[in-house]
Amino acid sequence: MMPPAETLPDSIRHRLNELGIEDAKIDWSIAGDLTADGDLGERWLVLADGRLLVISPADSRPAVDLSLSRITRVTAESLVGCGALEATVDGRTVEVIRYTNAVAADFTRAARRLEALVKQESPPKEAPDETRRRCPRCRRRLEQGTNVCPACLSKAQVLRRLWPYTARHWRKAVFIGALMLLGEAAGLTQPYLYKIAVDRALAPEGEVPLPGTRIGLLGWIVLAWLGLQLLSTAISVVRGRLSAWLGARISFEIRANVHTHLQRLSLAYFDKRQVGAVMARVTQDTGALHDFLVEGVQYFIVSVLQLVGIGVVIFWLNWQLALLVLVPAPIMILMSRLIWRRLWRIFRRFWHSWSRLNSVLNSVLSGVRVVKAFGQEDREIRRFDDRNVALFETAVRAERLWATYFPMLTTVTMMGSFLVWYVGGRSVIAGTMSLGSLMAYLAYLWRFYGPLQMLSRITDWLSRSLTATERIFEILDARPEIADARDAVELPAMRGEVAFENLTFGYDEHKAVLHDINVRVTPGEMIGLAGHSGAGKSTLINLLCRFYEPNQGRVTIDGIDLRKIRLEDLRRQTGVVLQDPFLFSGSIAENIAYARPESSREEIIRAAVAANAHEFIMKQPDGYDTEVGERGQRLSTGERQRIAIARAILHNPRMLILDEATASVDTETDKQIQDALAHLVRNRTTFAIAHRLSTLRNANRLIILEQGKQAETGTHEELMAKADGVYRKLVDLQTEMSRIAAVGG
Amino acid sequence: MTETDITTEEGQHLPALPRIDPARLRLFRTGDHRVRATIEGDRSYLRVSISRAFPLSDPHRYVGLRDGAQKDIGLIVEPAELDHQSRQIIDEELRRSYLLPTITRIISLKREFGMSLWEVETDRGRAEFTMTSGQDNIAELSATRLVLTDIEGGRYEIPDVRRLDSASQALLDQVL
Repeated sequence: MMPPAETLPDSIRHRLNELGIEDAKIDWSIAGDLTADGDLGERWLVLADGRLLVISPADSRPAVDLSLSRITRVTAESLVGCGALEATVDGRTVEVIRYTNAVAADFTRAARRLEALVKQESPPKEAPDETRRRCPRCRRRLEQGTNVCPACLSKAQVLRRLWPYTARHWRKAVFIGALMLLGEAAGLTQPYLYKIAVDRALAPEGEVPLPGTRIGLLGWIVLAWLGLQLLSTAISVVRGRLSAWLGARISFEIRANVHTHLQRLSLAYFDKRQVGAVMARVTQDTGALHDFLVEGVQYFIVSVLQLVGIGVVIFWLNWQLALLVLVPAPIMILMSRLIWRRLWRIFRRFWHSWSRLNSVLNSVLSGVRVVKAFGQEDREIRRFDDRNVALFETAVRAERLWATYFPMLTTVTMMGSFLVWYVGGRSVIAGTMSLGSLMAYLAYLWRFYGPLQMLSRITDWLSRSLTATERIFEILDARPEIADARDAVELPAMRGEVAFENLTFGYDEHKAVLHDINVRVTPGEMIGLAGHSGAGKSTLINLLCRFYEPNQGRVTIDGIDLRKIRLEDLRRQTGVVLQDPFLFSGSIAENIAYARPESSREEIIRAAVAANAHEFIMKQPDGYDTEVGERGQRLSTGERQRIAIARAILHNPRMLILDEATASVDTETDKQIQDALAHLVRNRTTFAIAHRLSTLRNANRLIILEQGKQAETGTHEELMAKADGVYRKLVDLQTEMSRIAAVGG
Repeated sequence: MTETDITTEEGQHLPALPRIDPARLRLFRTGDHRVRATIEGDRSYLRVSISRAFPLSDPHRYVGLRDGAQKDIGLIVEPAELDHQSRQIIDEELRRSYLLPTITRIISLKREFGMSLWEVETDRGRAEFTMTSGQDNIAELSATRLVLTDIEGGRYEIPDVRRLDSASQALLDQVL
């Protein structure tokens, strides 16, 4: 069955009708975006009535019209920035249609379907396209590694999902809310005291009371004022401290959730994404959320409260004046939006210049040996100077912009005051408004414009934070593909009998990397896996570790399907020594005890002795407490390998997986590593991806893989007996190589 | 890279450039769209693929040929020295397999939600594309020459920023 057709535009359908192809006969179509000349332009690939056609809206005749029965092969060729779908017709290859990278994935799939069709095979099973490239609703292109469309995001829904995190601390949230209201009320009362002070004590109208009474009143007013000021300070301190805690706490909880969840996700999740992108989710996005929760929400609520509160008061004091106050408001909002945008842009450029300067400095300082060795100091000085000049220029631009715009914005804000001074002042002179009211009014005015500017920027801020939040939720929503089955069995003591049965697997389901592997391994046996690179050796190991699950067939341990064994039991009894062993930053002892942190010092040393690592560790000034550096960079490859072997020995697994190093180490180190390995594999079922002849000989049996297929299986002697065998060729080649090395070295 | 780097006196100790003598090379179209190459006095290759050694810094010289098994045949240092027909085939094949439209005008550039939406005119026609706002996607090959990479891996070149019209430059200024 063909997949549903993309809806053909009418113009193309008419052309097809003119060619005598009715709508009902159109099986399927797909839009390309390059013309035959390689220009950008629409063209359609249509499968109809047993023919493969390429039609563009401009041409009356199809550019390509091929009968399916003449086609023997269809492939998608990938070029630079574009691709081409090619077909073999009567033994000759022709180009059918070209397209840009934007639709290359669709055409690759189309080519596979067509290939299956002409070969009369069943169409390949297509895994649903997990990482969508366009938003299904608004057709906007999406950022890589996410399906969140910022435009179609339902803001209410995201806020609702944030709610449970807040609800957990509802008492504090309610308390903070109450403090905000109270603080606002205290703030609102202050300017009103101006009015009372001026109208009653300083310049009372009508019958003037005695100066003594007026001074007494003034004293009370100032005291009340002081009281209010102290109160609102106290409130804002308490509120600020509490809400800082609450915001930080919520983002802490979300960050912890994200990381915990990431640890549970399967390797396949990380394969599809770049480490950097995932890291940005955990650090930047949760950071954006933190800023929003700690500052954004507070500013927002306080600003709204102030705006509403002051708005009510100034209308109540004098509504005509209040209308005047609103006159410069639109100009101000517009201006502050514009200014912020420009400032934002120029400051971003400033930070960019900074990071470019940093990267030059970083690379030249870490590569200082190379610079000195080739005598390129002057060149590096010039390079730094160039970046430094660029930084200087953007810094000047940014600061100048800042220095110009801010006074201007202040002037616009002042406009309102000028208007109030003049119009209000006239009312005071005319006696329709008291002097105190005017003073209070001006004080309110200053508090009114601040939040107004703030709110003009809140929409940008809100959408940025909510998009970040939604991307975080997207990670939390990803389900681990590999988890314990509901009927998982415990396997506390593994015997180590392993079987691959009709095993077929591909990282993309339609591109098998392993085909039909069948092997039965007895407990304690050592199996060597050999073959060219890309033959599928590491993939087989990945399946054995259950990092991935087979598409067909199964892997069993002690007769139980791997998918049914509790992951915990499997991991506890499997040990892995990788080609380039990964050490975590920490001490040597911590790295050896990684899988069993509760190990005693004595056990750690014994494991190191067994791995031939003890001697070199003792030569380090800090012994077992030596810090290995990030990824173990402070140790040599041979040393890292032996630490990894010690780690596996201490772990004491029933099943051992070795990815033997190809990296050349000196003969002495190699011997030490080989001895350590010999110690490690004893009595354990071992799978070794083997390169060295010595390992290949030591293995009980060998599995030779070729292009994902099990080419040969047997002992070293058996395989060597095959005159034309794959293994024999490999060994002959290697013997030759080592002879050359021996002569040359 | 300049013309002088072909052979300098100091390069005497280096192995020779795997150069194909343009006087002896002939390219043909076989019936289908494949290209056949014949090096006189040597041999014929039924199906060659053509690629650039310096697609960005020197796209018109140092063109490499590979055989059907993707094994290297050699380099044509100056395709201009080839006969007319072979030269034409090289140009066609390079145009076919390298898509790097040159932006001649920026019609509109919108920034929203941390992405930029571009609508541009290129030497290959009008195009729309989306970029993430990171600076990583804008490669500054020189102070005025840019290569933009969109989120789908498509690439666009601006050979000289100063030669764009001022409206385009102002738009571009927003993202640089």
